[in-house]
Amino acid sequence: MSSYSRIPPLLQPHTRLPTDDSILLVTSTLGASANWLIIRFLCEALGRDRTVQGAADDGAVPSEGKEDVAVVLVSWLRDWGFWKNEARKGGGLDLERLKRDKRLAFVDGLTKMCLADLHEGKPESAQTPIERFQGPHQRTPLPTGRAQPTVLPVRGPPGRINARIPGPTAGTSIADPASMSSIHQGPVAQFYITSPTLKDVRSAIEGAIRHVESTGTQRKTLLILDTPSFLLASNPDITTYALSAEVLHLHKFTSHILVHVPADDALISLSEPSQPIEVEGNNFLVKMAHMSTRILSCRVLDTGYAKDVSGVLRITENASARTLDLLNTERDGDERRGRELLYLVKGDGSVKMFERGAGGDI
Amino acid sequence: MSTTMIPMTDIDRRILRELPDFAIHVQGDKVPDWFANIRIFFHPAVRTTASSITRASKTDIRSRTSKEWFKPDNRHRGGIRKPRTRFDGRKDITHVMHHPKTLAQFERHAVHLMASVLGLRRASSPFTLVLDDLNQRATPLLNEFMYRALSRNVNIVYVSFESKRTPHPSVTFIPAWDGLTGATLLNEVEQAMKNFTDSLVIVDSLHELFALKDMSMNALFALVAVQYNSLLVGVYHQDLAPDTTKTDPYTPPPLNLLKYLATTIIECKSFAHVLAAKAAAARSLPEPTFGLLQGAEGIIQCLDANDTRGIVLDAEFRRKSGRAEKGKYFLRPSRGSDYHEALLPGQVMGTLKKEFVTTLDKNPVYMSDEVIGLVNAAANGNVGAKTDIVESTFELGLTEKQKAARGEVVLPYFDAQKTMGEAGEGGRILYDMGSEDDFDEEEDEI
Repeated sequence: MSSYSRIPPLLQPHTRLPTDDSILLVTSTLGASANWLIIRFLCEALGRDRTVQGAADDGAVPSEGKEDVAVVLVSWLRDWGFWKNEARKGGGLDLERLKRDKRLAFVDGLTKMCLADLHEGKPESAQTPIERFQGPHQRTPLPTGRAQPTVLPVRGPPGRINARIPGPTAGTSIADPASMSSIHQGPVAQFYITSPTLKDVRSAIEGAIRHVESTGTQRKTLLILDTPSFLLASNPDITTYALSAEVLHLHKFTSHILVHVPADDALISLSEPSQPIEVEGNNFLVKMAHMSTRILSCRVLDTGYAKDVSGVLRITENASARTLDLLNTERDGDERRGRELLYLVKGDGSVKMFERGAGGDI
Repeated sequence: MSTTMIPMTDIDRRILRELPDFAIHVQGDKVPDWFANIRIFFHPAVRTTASSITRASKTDIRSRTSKEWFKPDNRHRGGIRKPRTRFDGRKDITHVMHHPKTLAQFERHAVHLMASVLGLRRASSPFTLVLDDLNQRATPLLNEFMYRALSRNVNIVYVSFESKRTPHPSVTFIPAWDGLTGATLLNEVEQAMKNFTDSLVIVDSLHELFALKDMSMNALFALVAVQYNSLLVGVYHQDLAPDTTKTDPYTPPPLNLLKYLATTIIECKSFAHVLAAKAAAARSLPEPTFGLLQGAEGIIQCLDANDTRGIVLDAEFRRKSGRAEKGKYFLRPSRGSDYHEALLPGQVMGTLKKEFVTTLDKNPVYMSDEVIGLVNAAANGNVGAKTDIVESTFELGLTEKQKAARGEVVLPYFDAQKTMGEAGEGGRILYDMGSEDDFDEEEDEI
């Protein structure tokens, strides 16, 4: 069973990347996380084992298997261990191997920017992470207790699986001093964003893109930006327009960009008078939605909690993309209308999708 | 076979003039009685409107080499760029337009206003402000502007803050997001316009112009509209909140400034949403909200956003006189068959055959029974049903036969009512013992 088959059939037309270069937007809310959806995009890009597919001619999508896509995954809220586990559990992907094959590069926007060094006495820079996080601003100093490594793992963002890291588990690749020191020289390159400035972000991601492109084969690159709106919250100097310009700058080197932005009311609805962070959060989301050709938004069920439904996925396409294709194509009707699907993420990471009213067990 | 003959009238003579074959039916100055049936088609009043319709549809298709539309030579060879006014060569400059007398006149005038803006008539609108949101983006309208510019051989400059790709190879594309400052941006725009007499400059997001360093909207307007005498089209996303905290409290908000500068303001609306709003208004219900405003957490875009049937344009034209005219229009997506073949080598599309933007009221869907059905459905709180009857698995209606049978039923207590009218007998209880009734002697003894 290839990873590609982990994508529910109803979802497949929507995870398939458009033929033209484009930006896609994924939104989530607190109750309806979109991580499973990002994993499905990873499956779409990386999960087709071409040799296997050539042998087993199930004939479903034979021609598209030829497309070779490299992925650069940038995450500001989750670390490598999280994505590795999720991809293995939900998508059946071995991200470590893909990383060694240079089909995937991971840029960590969390570990070196926000967390204290988990292993003391390591030859890191003299600057503590908290100082780095504060950037050039030196706003209100945080309580010193936060810088202590004993406190931090507890207070990290939700979903972080770092608590296990010090143990000899599979997730040691980041925390292990040996692999830490092997940045840019070992067989597996690690990329870190060390401070919330656009300069650092750009250099880290560009490095990762160059890394996956250095294999020499001509292929498309999918850049996944997981919660770049974090930067707006961490550095007040970064404006929506600067950040969206940065996204476009990175789009120059990649064919597709998938941006994941949380769309909770608390983050984007404006109070009176509106706070700068609300304005920036709202504007960045709207701006990305304007720039993207497809929007996939996860939300919880409108009618409340249900045992057999995790949430609703709404997919809308912006058909009239910014190209003049008048003489080439006649328009193809209502196919581009938006669509809503219900989904259920199970404990083992698999996902079931169904239409409204179709019931979960079809 | 004999037909009744009736005296000939003026209209009959008219019929015979137009249809000489009918002369064989005429006997002296009498015509068969069935002539009366066709007189209506030749009545002078009917005749003139009919011929004017045919004349209009004949000239409506623009010729492929129309000089009005196509600019064969758009190169600028130096000299002063003079604004051409619409009244060139006319003596009657003080001509005052009267209010349109009929609906047809009014519609023709309204469509003409829009067509001159869309068709990039130079005197029509130097700065067109396009307002859009996620429910209906401005891209279909911008594409229409560009199709017509390509068709008219007008130079297109596309200043982009939102895209990395050029919409078309023959468009001069300026990626303004790529580290440009105000001065360099203006310089690039100027370079792109320099060699052409007529240009169309499109800015796909005006917000950034206000955020850009040493850039002002006035400078761009002065460069494009005044100095180069060309047209500027800018898009403003209404759902982006203005950042009030970082700007000087004494400067006006960007949107106010833009609306002040603009000579035409076009607001884009999704056709589906306009239909829904109409249905709500007809029932005095509050106007429905869509997308981000819907209030449901996590919804970004409406399912029927960016309707593929077409786009509704809510336009305000500011005339030179200072008078503002408003109108609602429907613009369907353009097709290859709307344009003639290209005239010049290398040109993408030829002259536009016929104007296809219409007023919204002319749209058959907007005025159709289907929408009225939606209105009724909204009244029942039952969107989707098109009749007044609640949908259920039971048959709640009555057939004619059942209704008639119901009418014939005699209700039981008519007898009591009859005796009520007679003296002293009101309140009598009429009761017939049935066979199954068990008469209880003690019931009345209290």
